[in-house]
Amino acid sequence: MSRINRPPVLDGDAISASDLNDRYADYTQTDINEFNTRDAAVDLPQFERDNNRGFLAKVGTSVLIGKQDFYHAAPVTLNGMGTAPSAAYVIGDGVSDTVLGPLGAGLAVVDDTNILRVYWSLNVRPQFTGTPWTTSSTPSAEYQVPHTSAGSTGVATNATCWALYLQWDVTSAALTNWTEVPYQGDFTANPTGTIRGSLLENTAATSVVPAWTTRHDAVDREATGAEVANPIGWRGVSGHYFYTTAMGASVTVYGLRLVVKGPMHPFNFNGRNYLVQQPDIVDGGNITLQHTVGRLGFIINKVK
Amino acid sequence: MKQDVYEVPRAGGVETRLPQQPENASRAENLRHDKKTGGWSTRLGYEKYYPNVTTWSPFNSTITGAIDMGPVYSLHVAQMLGGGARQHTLFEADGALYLLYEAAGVPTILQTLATGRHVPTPTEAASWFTDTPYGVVVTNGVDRPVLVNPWPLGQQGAGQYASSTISSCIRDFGFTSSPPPVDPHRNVAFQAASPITADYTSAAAGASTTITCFSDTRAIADGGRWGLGFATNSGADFAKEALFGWSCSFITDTGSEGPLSALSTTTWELPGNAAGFRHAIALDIPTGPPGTVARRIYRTTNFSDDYTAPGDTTLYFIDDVRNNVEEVFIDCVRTAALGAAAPTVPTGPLPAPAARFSTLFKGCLFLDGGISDQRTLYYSAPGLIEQFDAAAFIELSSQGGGITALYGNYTNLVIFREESIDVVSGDYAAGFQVTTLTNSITCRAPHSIKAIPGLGVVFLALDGVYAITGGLEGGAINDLVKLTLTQDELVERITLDCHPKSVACYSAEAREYHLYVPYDGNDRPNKGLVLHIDRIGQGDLSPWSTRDGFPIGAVATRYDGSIIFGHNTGCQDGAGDGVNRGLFVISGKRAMGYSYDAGSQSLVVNGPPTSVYRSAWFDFGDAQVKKQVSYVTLWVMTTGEPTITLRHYKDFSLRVTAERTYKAQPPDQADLPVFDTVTLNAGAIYEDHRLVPLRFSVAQQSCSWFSFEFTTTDDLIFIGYELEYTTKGTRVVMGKRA
Amino acid sequence: MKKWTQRELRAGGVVDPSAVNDELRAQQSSMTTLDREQLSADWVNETHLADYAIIRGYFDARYPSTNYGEQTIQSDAAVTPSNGFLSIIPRLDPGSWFDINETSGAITLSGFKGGNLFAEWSGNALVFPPFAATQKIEFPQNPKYLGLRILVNNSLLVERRGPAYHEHFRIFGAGNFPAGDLELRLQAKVTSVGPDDPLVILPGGTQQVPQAHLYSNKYCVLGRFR
Repeated sequence: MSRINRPPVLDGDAISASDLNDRYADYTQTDINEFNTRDAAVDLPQFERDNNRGFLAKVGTSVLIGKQDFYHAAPVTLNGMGTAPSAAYVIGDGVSDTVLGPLGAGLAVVDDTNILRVYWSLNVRPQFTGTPWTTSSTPSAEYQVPHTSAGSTGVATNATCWALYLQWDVTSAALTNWTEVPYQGDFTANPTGTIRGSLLENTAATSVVPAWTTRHDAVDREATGAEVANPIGWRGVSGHYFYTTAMGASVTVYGLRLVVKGPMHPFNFNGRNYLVQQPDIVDGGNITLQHTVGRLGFIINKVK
Repeated sequence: MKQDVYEVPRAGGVETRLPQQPENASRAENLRHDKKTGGWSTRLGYEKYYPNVTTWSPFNSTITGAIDMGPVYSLHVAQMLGGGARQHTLFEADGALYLLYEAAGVPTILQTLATGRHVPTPTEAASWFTDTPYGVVVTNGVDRPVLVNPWPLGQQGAGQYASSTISSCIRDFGFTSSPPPVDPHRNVAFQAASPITADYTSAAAGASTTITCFSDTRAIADGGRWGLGFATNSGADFAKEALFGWSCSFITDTGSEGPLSALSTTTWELPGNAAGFRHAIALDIPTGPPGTVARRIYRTTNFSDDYTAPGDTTLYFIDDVRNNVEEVFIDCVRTAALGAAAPTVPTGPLPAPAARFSTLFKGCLFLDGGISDQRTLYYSAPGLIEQFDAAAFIELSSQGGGITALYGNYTNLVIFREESIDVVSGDYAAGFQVTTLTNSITCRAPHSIKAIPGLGVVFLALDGVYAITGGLEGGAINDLVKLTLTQDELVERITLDCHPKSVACYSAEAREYHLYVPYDGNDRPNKGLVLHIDRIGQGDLSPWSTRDGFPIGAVATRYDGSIIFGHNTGCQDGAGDGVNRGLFVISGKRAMGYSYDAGSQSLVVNGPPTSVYRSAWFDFGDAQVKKQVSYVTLWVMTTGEPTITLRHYKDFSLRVTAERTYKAQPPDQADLPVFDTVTLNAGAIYEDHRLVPLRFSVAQQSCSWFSFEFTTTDDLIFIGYELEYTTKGTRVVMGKRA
Repeated sequence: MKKWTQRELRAGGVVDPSAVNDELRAQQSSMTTLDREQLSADWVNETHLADYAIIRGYFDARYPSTNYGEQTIQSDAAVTPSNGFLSIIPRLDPGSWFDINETSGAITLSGFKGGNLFAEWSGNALVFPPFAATQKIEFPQNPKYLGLRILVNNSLLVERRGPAYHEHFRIFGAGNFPAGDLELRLQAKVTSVGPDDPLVILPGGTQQVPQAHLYSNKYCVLGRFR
């Protein structure tokens, strides 16, 4: 900091040019800092703004994704994946992919002073025909609830789902190098056998949609009667992800997009939890996910 | 030749207004009031708080590593037990609040209570401390108010108890907001008539309960007294709805109750043909933040349409859970046995989370609203310093500006504002009233306000030091007296924007009010104005003197009146071994700080302060008549070998004429014994100071005005003086022609 | 703060100390006590501003990081079927609100300087819904939800009834808080099983039904200071 710490002129002091110049030179100081300002000295006008970008909120935008179809007249229909691993579907309008980008170079930059926050929503309707959960598969989509005497009743796990997740391109505005965002896997890892999926610790950018829901009567800890399946119907799914340099290096983001895989199911192995593909229950188009429109947006704001 | 003599039996303090009273001084610097004689003594200086420690410890090291301590900008000595038995010294530097923990002699480390606190700018006053029976409330207008109670605390030293438990000595003051809601478990009514004739099969779903209470007084020994809702449903279908709501609040260790949580309800109906049972409800109750000692549970009556008070959600007291641990409460209190209603004016969260000032008055804790709410005053319930009713506030008038300080004194609470001074009178029960004392005096230096016995509340205003005397009740006369009427030049030199940095203390032991102010453009106190209480009311004698060279950042007094202060710069401009830092004490030590001696690699004391006394400009009655001053006689106490060199001036010119030097020994008797030369067992006796005249011959040609001066770093006690002069009647010539 | 002329020197005026002192004393305000009227526009940039002067972010993309972003109350493999998550089984259900990080509990948001706090918690949750209506229970029966709430300093910031299927959730809230370290708690509450709900499943009858699970947990908290 800079202080003026000079005694006043006293009666009897010599009238000298050097003393006067020293006093004036006190006002030529370069290390002005917070100790030279009063409280509330820094107001909005003092904050530097770069080309109308905010000081705290650096950049942000959003786009519509999927297909705009308010009345659900002809939604996009995605069939369940009968093989594993399978490539993910890219959320699009049925003709082409809908992505956020390309963003210009130097626009969406994430460094150690800020955070990239991504939000998405999508109008979805998971559908099924028959009782796919009764089909034998690994992992199974049913629990066998024992009877008090012999035998058991199958009860759907209600855990089968579709997994939407986020990809980005941090290479160039050509958007030819899409990868999963950090802390997100692509559900192709192979923990055992033919199982393909990702550890739950790699699902940070995943939002799941339940494939179906069932209800079952029970008495005294025993499932009884018939199982009734209820369609989920049109609903909105939201998703959220963020990235900071605590998770990786500084990046420039050129594009974001949403992709989906399914049906998926929980699986645990060697003491760890996974979300894995469940291809065995797929038969043609018996399990589908329909979607219409949604929105994908991001904001980069200062955190430091 | 016959001489005229002008006698000043008692020399006065500083006066700047012209013409000066002859007894006063143009300059009285670094002098104390000597209590034995009533004269001026030069025996002062300052020393480290720990004079025997060879380093700056503990102000340059903590258990975690070396710290360099910057300016100390707030300081407070809290008296937690009467008689000075337990004093806590709290101070702030570098954004941290420290406790100088002295329970076991010289500490090797400071205890850090909090870090990351706001560092005041040059225009802001430092933290404000208010002692309450529960601890010290610390506010600074930016950080959340905290309550500090640094006792009990264990041993010092690395790894010892004090370091690991210090965090329990400080907590946030007041309530943040409402507690999370109470979560009542769903009640499933008992499905049987009375008498029971069949097994009861559970119909309770997850986390529901069926807790029954016999409604018949003869059923069990204590039957009929417990349970909520209806006991009987004579119809065939479900009916007789019970609808109850619950709320809870936290009680802290100050006895204060916080705001109520939102109402949460549960409801049930009795099955057909039910009889014999009321029900108890299990509640999940929240636990509170640190400082919570109990939870208070409230409940409504049955406000369903089937009961007598549909829609009446008035809350009544159920019970206190006297801990902050238990999570499930079973409520079986019948509506008829409900306690008192919850407060009609609900307690809210802390209404002033950015308060700058606080004070206790009539048992209530008063807080100002802070920088952004600067005209509102909030007050707590009496004796419950964290309990603020939503309606317990006073909105001050728009004229008068924001609140700059609060001071409880006598029967009134004085509110210092930017453009006026208001007073609050009354009490909590009858209500508080605000009146304006004056709207022509502006106090912007909150830490300059001190109550001085016999005088009143003394403070620094923009145009001088004032005292509020008297009172407003009974036959008392209230007055606002300016104490620096003739010392305006001293006040004018205070850096205007930095008035909030001024600090003051009153020492009952020294009978002095010390005011340290930023001077001549400086941004921190570098000059002291001292009001000597014993010199007030002695005719025209000025009771003021100045202090120079005391690097005061913040000042406080201990129980015995010792004045301690924090260094105003510390390591801010450098961190070498010789940089003075931390806490010091103004004492009789004849030194002004310390320097580092590279040779011996140790701290050595600097020399004593330079004390100066320059008399008023005296015209001997008529300034136009030329006088010849021949002698100046100084009346001093014989303090031994200290020397006095007299200098004198004439006609407002400070070109010095120095006279010879004398010792402070009797002029016409044997020297008194002095230290370092007296021989033990050689017959010398202890002898007290004597009042002796030291007459200086002054070679002064004619003058209209005369003034003399002496400066010394020796021990001297100066009582009064005499001036001997003659005059021939010659008058000053006419002025110079332009 | 700005100051105006205290003493203008004029030709022929006496050279007294206050001729220099008075003006320089007032003009110290151009060196100390600078206010917003004096400071120029656009001068505060990233370099000039100290870290966390006006905003601070607290985040963890996998919370609790010691458990891969999943809640710490978890069954072990011996009692969990392979087609289920190691999760909250009925035996482990605390019955009331629990921190998703039961091991260390609260998250300390240190250095909060006072102002607005925005807290956001998102993830995916699995709830086992089939036995909402069984034979022995009365209306309104027992639909399963996973309650979610965020507490700041033991005060409720936001609470939601929460997911009822295997689906994504996001809960957020904002409030004004004074300066000081804040304690953040992310809590959930399982709807407990009813008297009829099956608890064990084959094979072996030793395995238990996964009742609820939270994963991909992450929080992002932003404090904007006054």
